[in-house]
Amino acid sequence: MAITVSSDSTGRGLARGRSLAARTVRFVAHRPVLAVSSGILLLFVAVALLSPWLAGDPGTLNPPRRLKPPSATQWFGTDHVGRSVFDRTLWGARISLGVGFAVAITTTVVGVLVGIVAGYFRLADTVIMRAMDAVMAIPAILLAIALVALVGSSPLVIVTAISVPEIPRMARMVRASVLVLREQAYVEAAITCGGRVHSILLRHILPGAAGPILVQATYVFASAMILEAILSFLGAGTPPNVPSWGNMMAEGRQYLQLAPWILGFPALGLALVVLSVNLLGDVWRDMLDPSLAPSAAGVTR
Amino acid sequence: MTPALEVAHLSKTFAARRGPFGLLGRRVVRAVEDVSFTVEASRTLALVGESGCGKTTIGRMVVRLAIPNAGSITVEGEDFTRLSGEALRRKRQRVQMVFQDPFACLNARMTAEAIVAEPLVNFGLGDAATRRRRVRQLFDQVGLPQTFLDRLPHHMSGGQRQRLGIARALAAKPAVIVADEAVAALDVSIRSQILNLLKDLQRETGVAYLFISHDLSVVRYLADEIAVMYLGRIVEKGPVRSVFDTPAHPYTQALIGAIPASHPRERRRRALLDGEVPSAAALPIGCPFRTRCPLATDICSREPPPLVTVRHGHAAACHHIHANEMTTGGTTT
Repeated sequence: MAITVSSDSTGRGLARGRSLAARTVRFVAHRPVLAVSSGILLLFVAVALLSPWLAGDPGTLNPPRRLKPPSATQWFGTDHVGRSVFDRTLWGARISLGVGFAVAITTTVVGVLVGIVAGYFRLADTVIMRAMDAVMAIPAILLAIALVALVGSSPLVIVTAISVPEIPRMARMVRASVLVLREQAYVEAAITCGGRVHSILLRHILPGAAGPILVQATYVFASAMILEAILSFLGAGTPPNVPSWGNMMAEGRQYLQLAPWILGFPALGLALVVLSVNLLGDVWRDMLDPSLAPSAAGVTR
Repeated sequence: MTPALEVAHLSKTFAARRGPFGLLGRRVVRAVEDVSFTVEASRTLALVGESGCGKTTIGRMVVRLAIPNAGSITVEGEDFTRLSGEALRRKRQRVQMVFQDPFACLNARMTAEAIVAEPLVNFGLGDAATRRRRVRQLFDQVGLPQTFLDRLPHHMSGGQRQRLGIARALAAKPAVIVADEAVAALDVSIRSQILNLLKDLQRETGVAYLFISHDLSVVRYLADEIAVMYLGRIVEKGPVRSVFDTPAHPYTQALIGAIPASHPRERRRRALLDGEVPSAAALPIGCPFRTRCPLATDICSREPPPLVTVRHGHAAACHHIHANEMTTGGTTT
């Protein structure tokens, strides 16, 4: 493969002119971490989306067959009231991943907007950032418990409770990146070239901040899943009639010595998703840094 | 004919707060003080001086990356400093910039074609097909092969990137190009190529250059006129030949004396300067140069010297011009 690159010395072939499939194969071979972590994540996303078809009713009780270990008929065993741990783990993936995505998107959108207003337009920069510091001082768990006690438990409340304390971190990071990028010569060049505000932000500043934003978003995604599990574990999250990895672990905790699979499978799912999301964030960060991009043959900087 | 660029009584101060929360008051740095000059179309004015003398600040104000505290910048008869919003953005088409660092001034995520097309898109010049043709024409003009169109900047050399930066500055057909140390970051071998390119492009397009440099040999090659700056003020300005052959201000004499001679026989008695440049936050009263000037007398510490004409088009700000000229005037260079 190296030979094809060096024969194409103009560097054009690197960017264009290669079939999508060939580029994908080459890419995966060069980035095994990316391939494995995105594979795991995609698997879980598929499971979460398809759980109504893949898994049976997670609420079906079968007390005579309770606390059974994993077997050919019950792959993940059964819990203390005879419900299928396999069905419940699959259904639980919907809650965990759903909360993760919702929190990551909310945090990113709001955090980027706040960071740009403070860092690029410098509007009320001090006021906004001190307000963000104040919000950051609120512990997520306390906020969530207070909100649930106040308005009752619902997905919207959980997503809000987890997003609010994460937004300042994102906003602060975006502001810091924007403050650096707006002083860059290429951004000043874009201004002298008559760039409008939206073009300067979208073409020149945000792409430069995309790496850190993406990495932060994956971190938020992972920590939101963990927080949701903690809240459900504490009983302040997903209601007990809806299976989530958090409340499954809470129930399984009491039978840890007798039936470790009740806690083990949701915990394994959580660990795998969190790990792959974090790895994906690291790989994306490297890929989005143009100075780390592979250089065309024969031309180095 | 209205000049391409007319700068009148331009001043810029920077205020730095001292102490925690600015409790110790403000330290005012006078970066540029009452600077005036004119550049006609197809002409090049060089701003020279030591680092920190305010020449870069002037360049940034001319392209409106910095806002002057006082004075006016008139581009083709229209005061650039009074514009804002969309009117300012449109007027930017007339004043473009070539940056010092050919690595930092190009967005690393954009292809060469997109970089050069950007001003065309922003200023709404032509449809997509016209822009494609114009970008290819610009590549020819600056001597970049068409195969570079979809290259990324970090796959290009420093000289190639600077050509790209020049193509971008030329794209919107500006009246004035500010070149801030445009060749300082380049290898000596590339430098002369880029200087020749700038000269050729000026001949073809009639653009006026405000060329900011500390390198006198470059200035002498490229510029028609020269303005020598010291601590934010112009101390001498005039046609390049006149200023190089018969420098009137002791500072200019020292600068020119510091150019290495190409032959031992051409070595002059050098008037080297003692001491350090005073801080721009604590300027000497009177003539700012008096602390290092070999000719300084009482009057220099009392009154700042005005810019007076020495001969046609050549002026200097020194109380001792005439006494000075008699001793050193006519030095061959």
